[in-house]
Amino acid sequence: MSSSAKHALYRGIGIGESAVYGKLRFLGSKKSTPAPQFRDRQTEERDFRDTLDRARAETEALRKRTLASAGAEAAAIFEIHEMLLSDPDFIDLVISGISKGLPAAVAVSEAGESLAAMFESIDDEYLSARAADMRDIASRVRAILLGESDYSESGDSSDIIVARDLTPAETAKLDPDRVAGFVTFAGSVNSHTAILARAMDIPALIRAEEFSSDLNGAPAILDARTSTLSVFPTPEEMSDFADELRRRDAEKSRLRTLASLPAVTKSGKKIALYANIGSLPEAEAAYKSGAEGIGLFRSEFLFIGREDLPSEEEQFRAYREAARLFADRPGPVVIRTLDIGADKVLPALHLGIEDNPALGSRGIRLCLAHPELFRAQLRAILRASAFGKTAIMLPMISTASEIAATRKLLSEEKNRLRFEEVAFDESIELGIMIETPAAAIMARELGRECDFFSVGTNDLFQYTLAADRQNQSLSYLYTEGGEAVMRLIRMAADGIHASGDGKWLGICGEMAADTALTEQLISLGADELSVSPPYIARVKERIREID
Amino acid sequence: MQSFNHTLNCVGGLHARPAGVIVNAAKQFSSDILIRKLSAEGAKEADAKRLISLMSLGARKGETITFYINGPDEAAAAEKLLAVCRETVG
Repeated sequence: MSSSAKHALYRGIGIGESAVYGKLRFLGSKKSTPAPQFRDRQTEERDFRDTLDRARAETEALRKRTLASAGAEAAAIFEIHEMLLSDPDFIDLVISGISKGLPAAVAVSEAGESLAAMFESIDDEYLSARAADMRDIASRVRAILLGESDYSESGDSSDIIVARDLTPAETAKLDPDRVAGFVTFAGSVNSHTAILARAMDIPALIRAEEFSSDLNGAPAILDARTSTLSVFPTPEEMSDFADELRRRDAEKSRLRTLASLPAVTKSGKKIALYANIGSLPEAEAAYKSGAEGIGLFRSEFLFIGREDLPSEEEQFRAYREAARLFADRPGPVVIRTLDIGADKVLPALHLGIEDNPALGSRGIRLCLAHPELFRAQLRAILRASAFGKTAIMLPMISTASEIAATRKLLSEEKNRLRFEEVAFDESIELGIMIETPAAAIMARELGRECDFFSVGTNDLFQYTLAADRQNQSLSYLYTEGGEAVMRLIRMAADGIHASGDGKWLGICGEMAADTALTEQLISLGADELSVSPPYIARVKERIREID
Repeated sequence: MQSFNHTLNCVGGLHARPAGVIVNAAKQFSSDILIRKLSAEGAKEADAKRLISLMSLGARKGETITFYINGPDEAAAAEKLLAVCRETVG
């Protein structure tokens, strides 16, 4: 390594959030096995069929292992592999190869390659990525036929695996405790490999610039965040990496300790600390951060960036996933109904252009104007409530009649579900966002109509100060205007608390994450704070310091 | 002979998982089950009991596939597949 020990930087696409140090280890340079010889047709066929059984059993074992290490989503691909292993198109192709005089191992490779090429020819990124699955199962069957040893047993804790393209099975066999990360020259961000890598929390660099396998054994830093692989890192890089590692370890252990501690003030007041999320992967992050519930699940992610509207079924599945995930946490998953206005693109609704979208038909106003859209969402949320505590939250409420109109739709949909004998939580809570000054001022009246309030401080600020948050020249209003907003929050808190026992006030805007305000928000009467997952630990730390 | 149309509404079209769901449902019946997709390049057909065949249709979101079911348990098969399309495949 002395003469070739030259520092080099390779770029690619980083998967994951971490950086690792390790020795490069090339896969695919397996020990060479003698070329298989054709025996007779019956023997080859029998070997092939026996091998299929073994391959299915191995796949089942991989599925279970992945289920335990990376969850159901990641494990599902192995069910597909099992089906591919049993697929008559694949089996027939191999048998026909054998009948032409090919040894089983060769026939398997050729069949796998020809089906993989078929997938690659389909003009669809996802389906062409299935070529890797086809090659994967073929190479596994071939390896069993040839009795090739399994590389996965020989890893040590600091290896960065390098391969042309890791198959999902190879990726799943990599034990995160022994393998630092991996680099592939091919692959795509949609490939199962990339998805599995994320789920298993292994940093990866895919579509990396090619380098020679002469670098086998070379030390390297793989940084998924900068999408680089530094081979023979410079002393400065090494010391930066060591600093980063120490910082991350300290932070990690501090956060781990905090995640399991309750959010209680010194005097024993319990604050519900929930997470704001806008997608399902964030739900996972929220769960890991120790959030006791979801205080704001923005449902817009299901609606934006597409030509049509999500079906009730599609929404149901997304909400159910979050509800199931948090079923063992004390708090609910609060799903905010579609909060969208003319400033967001929603082609399917043909929204007219408004001069002033911030003051236009948005949030609850838009939902009530499109009852079919709204009903589908309410039904999806109701159905999800059978799988874990769920709540409904309405955005942009300014009058009690908006809540009453929603209640009417909600009770009709509940009746329909009862009639259809579809399960839902009969005691599902209905809450509203406090975003308009009108809602805060009328808190007593609105409080009677619902179960909880959650203050959207960003919008409340902008509507109270009549100031656009994006406008830099108005920033003084945001520094000096806080007291006006705080008084409105107090009105909201007093209103909801006076409306009935067990009714609560949450804060889900940016203010909730500002630890300089935590004490004040609690003294105003906040029962719940909802912040994005990375802030959970910090806010919890602050709550625990407060008297 | 039973037949029905289904317009795919799942985000990625007839990908591995939705296709797998159809195959698993189809395999429970002895009837022959054919899926046909019309496209600009002409009609493509697949055996609903074969995953590779089904995925090779390359059916995308928004495209309509037609099921043709023929055999002793065709009525039950049609009912089951229709439910699977609506509830699981999307």
